[in-house]
Amino acid sequence: MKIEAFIKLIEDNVDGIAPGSLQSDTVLTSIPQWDSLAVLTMLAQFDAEYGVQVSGTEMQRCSTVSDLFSTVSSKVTKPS
Amino acid sequence: MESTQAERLLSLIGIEARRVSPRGVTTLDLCENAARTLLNGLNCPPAAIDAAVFVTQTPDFSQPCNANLLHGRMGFPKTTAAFDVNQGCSGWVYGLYLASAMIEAGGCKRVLLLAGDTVTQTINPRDRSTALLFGDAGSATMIERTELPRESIFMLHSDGTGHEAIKVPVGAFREPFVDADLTERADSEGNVRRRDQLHMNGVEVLNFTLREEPAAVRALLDAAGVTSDAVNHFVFHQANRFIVQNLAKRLRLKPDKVPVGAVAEFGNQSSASIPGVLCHDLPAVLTAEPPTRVLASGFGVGLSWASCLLWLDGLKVCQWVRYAGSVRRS
Repeated sequence: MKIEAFIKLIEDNVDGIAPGSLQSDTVLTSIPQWDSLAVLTMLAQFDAEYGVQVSGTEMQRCSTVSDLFSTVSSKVTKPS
Repeated sequence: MESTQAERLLSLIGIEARRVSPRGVTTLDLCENAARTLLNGLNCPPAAIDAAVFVTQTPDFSQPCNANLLHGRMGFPKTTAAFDVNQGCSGWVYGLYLASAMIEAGGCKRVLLLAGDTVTQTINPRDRSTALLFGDAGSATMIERTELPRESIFMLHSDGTGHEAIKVPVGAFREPFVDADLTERADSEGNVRRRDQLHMNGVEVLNFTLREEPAAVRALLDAAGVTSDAVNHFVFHQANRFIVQNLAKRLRLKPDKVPVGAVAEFGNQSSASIPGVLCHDLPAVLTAEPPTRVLASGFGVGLSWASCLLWLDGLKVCQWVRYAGSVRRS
């Protein structure tokens, strides 16, 4: 799972985020469009795309895009 | 709420209008209106009703129950059993299961199932996590013994460890009104509510739905020995368009088999949501002669979820009626 694809998933699904505007060290709360609607949209995308669920507590612990990527990728079941 | 955020919310949840009951109109009133319309349309006298099962979480009183109040209003005979079921969004399927079981056990020929809520009366208008999502509704469904070879399959589920996700903390007996702090407070996102108003944790509810619902639908299809191709319509509780379309995507269902018209026009109608879809989106199909296979699934407060696979054919009454005085908000 690559962070570039992860970032693109966010940019493609949250209205108003310009493609290429997010970096791995972007602080989530600094993104104007990163509100409760964006969170719900991305939780559904993480489930659809990666088969992964992220809890509210885990979301709150993520400060940057990279934190979110680490949380999601750590839950992805590795193929045997 | 800022207008762009409101626009994004409406685009996501797909709710264009809701119906709000005015103060003084309760779920009992809405369901009685539905029941009278139904019994008139069926030419069914009150004396023919063997049981009334009333699913609601917004009853007129904590006691006596709504079913008893309806019994009095409708003039059912003293031999009619009447009781309430305290469930929300899974409640119509739970109620349908109970009605079916009562008939199959041999004690009843006709069970009247009432299901609905006036959720808007439990919500703070300054709570952005709930204020735009819900509409009020009451429904009436007649379940009658048949000799036709029609199998119904039910699966009922619970997870009480998730009880905090959707809750009204104050007003019953764990925390009575007299002891409670009823100050309006804002949460960390600025949503304002009192403790006797509906609290909903959107993230937890979404995760619960995505975790449990697809598995529940697959289990039901497996139990029936069919694939989704054998089902004509998937009637999901209309929580919002976003979640229903995500469920359809996860289950790889053809979009034309998954109605979302009711949520657009009425919002989340709690236990009346599934009958709302049947009456708003599917009446032409359900009143026609050829049997239609319907999978209905409700999920929500409890946490509770319930699914059923039904054959519906030639329904004599399948309609939406407006309660005089209800307000359409868009």
